[in-house]
Amino acid sequence: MQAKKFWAVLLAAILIVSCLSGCSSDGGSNAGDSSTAGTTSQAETGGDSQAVDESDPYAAGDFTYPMDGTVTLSINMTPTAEEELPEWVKGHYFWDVIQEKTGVNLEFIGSASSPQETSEAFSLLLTSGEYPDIMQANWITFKGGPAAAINDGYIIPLNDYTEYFPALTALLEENEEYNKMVSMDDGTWFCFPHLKRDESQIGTGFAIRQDFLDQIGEDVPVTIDDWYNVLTKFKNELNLTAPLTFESRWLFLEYATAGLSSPWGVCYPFYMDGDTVKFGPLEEGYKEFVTEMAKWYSEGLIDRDLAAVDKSTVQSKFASGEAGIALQQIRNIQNCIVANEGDPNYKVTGLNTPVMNEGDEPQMSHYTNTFDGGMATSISTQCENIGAAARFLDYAYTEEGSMFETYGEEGFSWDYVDGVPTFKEIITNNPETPDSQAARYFVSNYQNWSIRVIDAMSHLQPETLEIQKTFFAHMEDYAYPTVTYTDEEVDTVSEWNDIDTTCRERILGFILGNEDLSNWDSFIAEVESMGIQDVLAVRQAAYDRYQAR
Amino acid sequence: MPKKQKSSTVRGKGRKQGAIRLDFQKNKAVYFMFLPVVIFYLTFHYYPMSGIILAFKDFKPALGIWGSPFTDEFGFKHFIDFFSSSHAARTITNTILISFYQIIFGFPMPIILAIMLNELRNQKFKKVMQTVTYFPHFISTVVVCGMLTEFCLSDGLFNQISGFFGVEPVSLLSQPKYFRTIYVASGIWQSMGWDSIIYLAAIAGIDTQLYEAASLDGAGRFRKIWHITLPGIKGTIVILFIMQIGKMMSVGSEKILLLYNPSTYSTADVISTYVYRKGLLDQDYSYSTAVNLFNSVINFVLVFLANALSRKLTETSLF
Repeated sequence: MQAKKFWAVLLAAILIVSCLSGCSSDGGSNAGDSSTAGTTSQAETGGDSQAVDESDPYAAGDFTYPMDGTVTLSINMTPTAEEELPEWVKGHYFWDVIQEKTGVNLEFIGSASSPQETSEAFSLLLTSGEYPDIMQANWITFKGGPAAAINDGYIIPLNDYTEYFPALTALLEENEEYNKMVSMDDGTWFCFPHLKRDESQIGTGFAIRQDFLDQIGEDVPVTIDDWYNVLTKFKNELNLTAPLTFESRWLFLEYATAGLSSPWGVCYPFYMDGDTVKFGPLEEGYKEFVTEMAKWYSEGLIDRDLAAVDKSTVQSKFASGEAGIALQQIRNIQNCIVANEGDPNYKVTGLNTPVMNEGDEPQMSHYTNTFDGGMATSISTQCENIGAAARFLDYAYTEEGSMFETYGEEGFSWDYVDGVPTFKEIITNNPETPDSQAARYFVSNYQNWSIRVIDAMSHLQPETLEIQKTFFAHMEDYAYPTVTYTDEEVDTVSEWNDIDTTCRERILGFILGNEDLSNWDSFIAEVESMGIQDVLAVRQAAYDRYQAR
Repeated sequence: MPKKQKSSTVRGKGRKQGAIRLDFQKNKAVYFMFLPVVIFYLTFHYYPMSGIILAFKDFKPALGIWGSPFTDEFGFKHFIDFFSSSHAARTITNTILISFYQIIFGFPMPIILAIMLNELRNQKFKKVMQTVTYFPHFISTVVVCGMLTEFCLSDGLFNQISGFFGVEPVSLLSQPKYFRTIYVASGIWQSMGWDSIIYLAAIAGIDTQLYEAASLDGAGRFRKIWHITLPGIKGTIVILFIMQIGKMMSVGSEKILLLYNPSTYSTADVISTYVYRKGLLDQDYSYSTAVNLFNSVINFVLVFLANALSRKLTETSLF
């Protein structure tokens, strides 16, 4: 009797489980169907309303900014609060002016996504189920990419609404390269992109204390051997505790330390060698790079606290004279210079990417793609007034709008001088902000979707701009473009996270001497066993599709 | 045999149910007053637990928790993934080891401190000592970790001290071998004073006549500690020990997140930090729920075992 009951229960359990798993696969495909159905039906209603409502104010050819001010759009952004704005900015703050110029009221709901990755706050926003009309996020780094964002029902594809954003459409149609970058493989446009130009693509590099160099009587180092020589002298003759310093995290941020590994022709993680995708650590050169760095570290040429320092420590070490060479963002280099203003001894020179042999060309450097998904802005599925939203976003790409994004308000922050747009005193010589960062309140730098007329690093002093010029090498030949993946590829791509973690841990361990370099082969074997070849294959396929766009 | 047991439990249940009904009729008002508490627990503690189902699903935010499809392998895909990854063994080992050290070195500390404070005769000095020792408890973890990071730098406090003895400076937080020591030792510093309060209270509850009688019998200080104080606070020690065991698998992530870096993952990466990285950084919600669920189940089993053990050994138990 007991046994019988047991079997009955077991059978029932099996039935339930199989039923559930059956349901689950059904549920999956159904859900997919319904969400695609959702987007199409929305697209249809969009189309309908255009057809029915002849007087659609946003589609009309004679549309002009500003709009009538009746529309309110929500956006996940956190601008500086009104009360925190300095007095001289009030009334001219970028986000206030853009509302005025476009005639749209913005409702800021916070939960901004960071440019590199999906932030915690933003993930919570997604799980809440209530999205703002305009969503700013890096859908490229979002799990599953823009395709998932569309299929999961967060954002809408824009191709059906081109009449609402003529400026961006014209820009992309005229410029093949841009179009290739911001489209998905099937040609779908999913966002109003933020397009960078040279000066903001390469913003990180090495700077050296010129006065230290003078003290030891050396020239600016060019080859990697020169570097070794100079760093050794920094340590021995000047007793620097951290001759070379940078954040260890940067070894594994895309191309952040590419300049350092450039002499060996490799960098972390993926880069292009002609039309082939390569993964740095798998290359022989990378092992040599790590070997050299381990040697430098053990000899005290690299900051002992490499693993623990962060951006601000690096900056303070370079400003205080504990470090001789630092790898930093250009803004932080400027901060160091500003902090030592008035000290005639403190002199900083930019450093070119080192080379292996005298006479070689510097090859790699820090680099971000023209379009990397950061600051890209999309229209959400819950947006009720797509026309107004698109018109609002499109403003940034109009002639007037892009001047505004680049220079701020005409007549306030800039004027034409002999036909050339020129910043006024409030930007160039503002006593309120001695660090000459006044422009950040008035132009769109790092803030939003836009293309700028020039990438005026208006907040940099001429001296710092000179340093930045030394960062440039030929990284555009090596950079892996911003691609998108298919549904099947997404799982393989996410395996990369685990591989990345392993690499960070082991490679840093090798450099710090926690692990002996004789274990390098076992490290490579581990990475291979985690499926790096699959990831490479997917990356290659995505690259090939990108080229075929 | 099973049948008999069953009938007896049924009868027992019936009697119990009757008693409950009677009690309810008698104390209606009291039960009514209790209702908000029940509702509170149901909405904020039990209802959210249903989210555990995420562990068996492929979560898609747009579909919601209930709408997301179940995974392959009858919903156990994430568990299989976790246990077949190299992270499982390491995070579990690290979690257990850190907890183990915390119990070995950290658990006796407040007891010893409480007894020592109790033996102090100068009341003023005793009060000052107490305040000084529990002060670190009020410093926020973020600040403590900021201080630790500074102290552990190659030119930080610890290295300056060891420098007196001619030791070469090392960056303490970038070497895996030092991590657990730093973590456990700073934990003791943080919580020792605060945790001793409960023991002091227990000691205060011991009848002073016992001490007087012992003195008359010629017992010295250590005798009195051993035969009166310790047995007197045994119950408290056991209950706190059970609770400590219950927390064994849940080494908190905050402090580790603030102190570790990739070079110390090999000793510092515990289950909770791994869950954090997977869930909140990589947005693999289902996977991290699965890992955490596994963790909670183990925790539950541990509390249960510790409780049963102590009931058997000391006749003191939590439930």
